[in-house]
Amino acid sequence: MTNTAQTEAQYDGKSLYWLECKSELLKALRTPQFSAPTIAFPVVFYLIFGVILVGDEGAGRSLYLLATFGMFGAIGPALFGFGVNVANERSNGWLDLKKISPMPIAAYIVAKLFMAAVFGIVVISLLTTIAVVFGGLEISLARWLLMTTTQLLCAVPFGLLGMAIGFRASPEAAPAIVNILFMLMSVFGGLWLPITMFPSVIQQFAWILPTFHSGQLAIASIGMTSIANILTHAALLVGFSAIMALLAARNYRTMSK
Amino acid sequence: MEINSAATMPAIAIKALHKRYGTVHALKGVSFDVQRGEFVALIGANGAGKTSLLSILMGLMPQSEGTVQILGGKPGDMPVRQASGVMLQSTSLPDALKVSELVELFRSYYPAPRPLPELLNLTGLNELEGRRYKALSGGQQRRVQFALALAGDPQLLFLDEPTVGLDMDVRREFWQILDSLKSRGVTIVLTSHYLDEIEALADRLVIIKEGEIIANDATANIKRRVEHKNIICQSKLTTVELEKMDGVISVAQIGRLKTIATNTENTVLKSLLAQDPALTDLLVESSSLEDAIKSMIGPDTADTANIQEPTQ
Repeated sequence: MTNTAQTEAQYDGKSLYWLECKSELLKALRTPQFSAPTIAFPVVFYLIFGVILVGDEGAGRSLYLLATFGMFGAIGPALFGFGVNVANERSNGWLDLKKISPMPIAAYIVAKLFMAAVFGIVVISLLTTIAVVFGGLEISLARWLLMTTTQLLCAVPFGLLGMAIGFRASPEAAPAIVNILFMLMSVFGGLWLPITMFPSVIQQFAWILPTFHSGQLAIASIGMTSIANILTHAALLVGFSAIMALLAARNYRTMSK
Repeated sequence: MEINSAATMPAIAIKALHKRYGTVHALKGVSFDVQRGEFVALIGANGAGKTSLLSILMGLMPQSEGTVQILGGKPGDMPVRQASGVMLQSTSLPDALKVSELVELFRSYYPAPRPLPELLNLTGLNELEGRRYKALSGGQQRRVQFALALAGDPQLLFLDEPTVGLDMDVRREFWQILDSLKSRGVTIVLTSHYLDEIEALADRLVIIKEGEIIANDATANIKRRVEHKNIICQSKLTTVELEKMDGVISVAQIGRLKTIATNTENTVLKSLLAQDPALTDLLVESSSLEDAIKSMIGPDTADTANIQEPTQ
């Protein structure tokens, strides 16, 4: 009995979570098919829409789009990291091997969230640098931290959406599903162009998109006015997350190769 | 980690196990035990229920009926997972990670892992620890998977077709490692289409056909069930003519060679040479484990060329 207690005392699981996170990050960094688009797309789009096409409207517009493109950049690794990678790992047996091992499933999820957060921070930092250097943006560190934290937290529901897809879709279908969802939800949720520039029908439609609410919360975090009040957007996002979490859990329980 | 104080208790106890997928009845009341330290091979044709049985034992899916006890617990229980290691039939590990990173990751899952250098040494991965998984040959990748199975210093090993696609030298090395694990008291459950492997390693065979166990016996006993001799030769005599001879059980033709099964090889050889003095390539063999298993589960099933198992 003392023996068992000792073994368990040494085995605190800290290194497990850390190694799981590290492995997930290394995997993502060393896979250019993942790392290149998740970083390059938001950077290029922000350069075009947030700096080049802004022209006279200046720093205010750059800041607004830093919030929404930063949101776009944080969603990407969460959605792809879960949606596509989980589908692959489910079908190639890696997830089975881990489920059979003593790894707690929470470590698998935490590691993917960690990876998505690191990529999110990299993208947001790059966009901020572009805005400061080319767009003449001035932003305080406190404001930037608030914005970044908001964007990372508001990307979590998309990790859950990705999980729901990843535990169900085939690895062939998953990239297509995730790409289409990501692009459509980003455009019509107002992450590329301000939602107010769209016809009112689309503005109404945006309410059913989680990207809209994430984007509005990011906008609020930089001190600009969101469409509805913060609590409304946050509540809808929490509701969406709960549905996705249930769906992901159901798909996990019934998953097949 | 002491999770089963009663050392006499079997490592695995399976009772009246059923698995149904809709209308398909994949396992129809399977019962058998695996003793501690025993090396058991599961044999069956594709679709016989091996994969279903293994998936249940590994805790990947629930059974429809019946009970399974592993090391005193249920499949999928944390103490059971901590005390087991597995090699799945078809797994791809993350391409981008290095050998040492993969092994370290799996070591971190277990309360009392084997030291990294020991694992690398045992599986012959010493020189390859800094190599990415993607850059390894198929055989080397299989070794990494084996290292992951051994990472937790398991009491119980599940090996699903561990040597598929490996060349003979590597397979023999692998057998040696399994033998040394067995002498350390590790309980091993293996599936393989290679009967030479099973004959060399397994204490006992459990043969499954259409979801039922049709044999569960010591390897030597199963081999003895078919105690005939095979006379192999090239002869002008036709299969029909050979079958008419006294003492001939059956005749099979593979290419130019005819294989005559008999219990009275002396008599058959005499009449064979009398009727066809010009016969060539004569060879007399004891029946093999392969013959025994073929006689039980049908000729196509022990086919070593057909290694595809349907995935669920």
